Amino acid sequence: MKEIDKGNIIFFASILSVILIFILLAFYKYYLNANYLIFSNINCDPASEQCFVEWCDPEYEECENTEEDAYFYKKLERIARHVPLCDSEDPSCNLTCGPGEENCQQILCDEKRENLECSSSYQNHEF
Amino acid sequence: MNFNLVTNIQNCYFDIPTLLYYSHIPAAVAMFLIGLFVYIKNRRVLNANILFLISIFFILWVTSNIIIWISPDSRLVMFLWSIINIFEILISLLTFYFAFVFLEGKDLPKTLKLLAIILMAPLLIFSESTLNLRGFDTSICEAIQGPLIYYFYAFESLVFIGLLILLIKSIIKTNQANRKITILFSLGIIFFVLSFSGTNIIASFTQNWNILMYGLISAPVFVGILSYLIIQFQTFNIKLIATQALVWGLVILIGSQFFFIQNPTNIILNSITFVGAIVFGYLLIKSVKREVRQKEELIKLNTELQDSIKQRESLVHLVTHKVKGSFTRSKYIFAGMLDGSFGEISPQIQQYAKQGLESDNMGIETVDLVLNADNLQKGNVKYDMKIIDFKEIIMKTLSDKKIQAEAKGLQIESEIKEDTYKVLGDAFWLREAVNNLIDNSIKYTKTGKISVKLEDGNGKIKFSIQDTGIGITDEDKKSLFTEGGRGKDSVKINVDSTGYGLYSVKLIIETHHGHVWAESEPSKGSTFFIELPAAEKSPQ
Repeated sequence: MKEIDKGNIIFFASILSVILIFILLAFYKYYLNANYLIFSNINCDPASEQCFVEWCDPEYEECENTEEDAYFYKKLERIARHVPLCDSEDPSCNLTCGPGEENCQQILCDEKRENLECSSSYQNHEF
Repeated sequence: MNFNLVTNIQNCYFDIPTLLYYSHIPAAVAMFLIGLFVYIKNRRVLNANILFLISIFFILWVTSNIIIWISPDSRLVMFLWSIINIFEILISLLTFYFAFVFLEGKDLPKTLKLLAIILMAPLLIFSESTLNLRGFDTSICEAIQGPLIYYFYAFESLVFIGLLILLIKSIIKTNQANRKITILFSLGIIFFVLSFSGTNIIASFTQNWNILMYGLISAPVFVGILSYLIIQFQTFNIKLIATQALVWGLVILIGSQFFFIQNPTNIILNSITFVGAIVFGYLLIKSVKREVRQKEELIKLNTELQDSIKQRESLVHLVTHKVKGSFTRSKYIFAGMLDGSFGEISPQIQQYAKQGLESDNMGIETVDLVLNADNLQKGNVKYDMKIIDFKEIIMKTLSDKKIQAEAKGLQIESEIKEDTYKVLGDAFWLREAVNNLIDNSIKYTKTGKISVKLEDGNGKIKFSIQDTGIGITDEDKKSLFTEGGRGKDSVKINVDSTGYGLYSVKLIIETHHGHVWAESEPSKGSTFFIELPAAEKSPQ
């Protein structure tokens, strides 16, 4: 059986050191600095905004296919470290982008672009 | 509970499949235990180090994957998701390295190492860029993978193809003795890499991450094959302790799952598995323990036996040559006394000299018999195979033995039809065989006659010699034609029996693709048979 030699030890040590460096960099970037984009669906007010609509399906959930059970949302793209650690369902949780904040946007529904049903036209939905 | 969109995401709380723990934890523990034990027992062996690294990266991969499944913290999920593919490709590359060293018995060439580093570099360099991960989608609690994943798939496929080529080449060029190990090892490796990497690629494409759990089943299979190779072929120098550790490690592992599961059905199922693992583990260890000890004992006994045989052979050769030398010197002294070389001797001395000469001749004959049997058995005899007439051998031997038989008051009859009895054989050794059989009949027949018969038919030539001797008991038949086989009753008649005469006959005849046997009943005489394949008769 082939014995391990000095060359093998140097090879393994170098490779493992390089990998360890990249693991530490990843830990710093993602865990400590939270430097990545969060894609999320957050609450939207259909009365004042053009919202995405997700209709409840009575086949799978206990609900009625009514306006009250529909979920109105808009999309949020924001760097994780800038996202406040509050419950997005809570009305006091302010998720709006800060002034001049990079990589932050709230996307509203655009029927032409998304080819989806938006809140402005939900009246056409067949209940 | 205070949910948010980063550290405690509501959508990340969902029912975790129980299979997640069952598929991940036993696989990781089994892999780690085998890696650790092989490493502890073979620290200086390159492959033991590689296997240990595989097991470490496997544990890192398994731990990362479990956390990715269960953590509601996007920071942790993103961190681990960004590096999990590095662990996976390292497992594949190290498995290739392990297979290469195992099969080729040498280190991986520097060019291949360099190629692996070059191909690995983009995965490391871009691991923290959006090429690797674009971000985290809280609605599905998953990281969104970037285009680097396609490079990763291509790289994994390349390593797999390389591994496949290496294994096929090794199976083809390996010798018969090692083929079983190579095939078994190759199947284990292929199954492991194909299931482990293959299911990850499929899961990534289909977004059905449940598939991954089934892929991990290959790890215990791989560990099982490695364990089998270790125990059966002693591929690595670890024995019983590794089996015990593996089995009890699995038992502890299954037991530890009681801390995770809450569903009553799962608790019952886990309890059954736990008890089953203890019982079967205990039986397996007991059986392996016995097998390992028996094997070690057999190896020891075999070595001792081989040494003993060599010593005995050497002693027999020494003694027989010395004895033969003494007999020969003594024979010439008696012969000299009889032919008058030492002057006139009295009739009484002449009588003693005759007895001495006769005794020396018998002694030389016995020594020759033992030496011949030994040479025949060891294959030291070179046969000069020619087409010969077996009848001529019979007639010549009968003629030589006639005086000896008549001196004992025995009559020799022969029934040989006029024909040619051609066989392919060595005339000297066939004559030796026939001579031994006739000699045997004369020695064991007190009164009466000896009938010799030669016949042919069905492509065989059959020689038989029937005597009116003491016959052979069923007990003595067992020792006929065996090395040094002397029957209890036969010794009473022939005290000089060596037990090598019939054994030599058997060795000679079997080398000529023939068959020798005896038929006898006590007090009714015996018949010995020789059957040889007839050589094709040339057209006259």
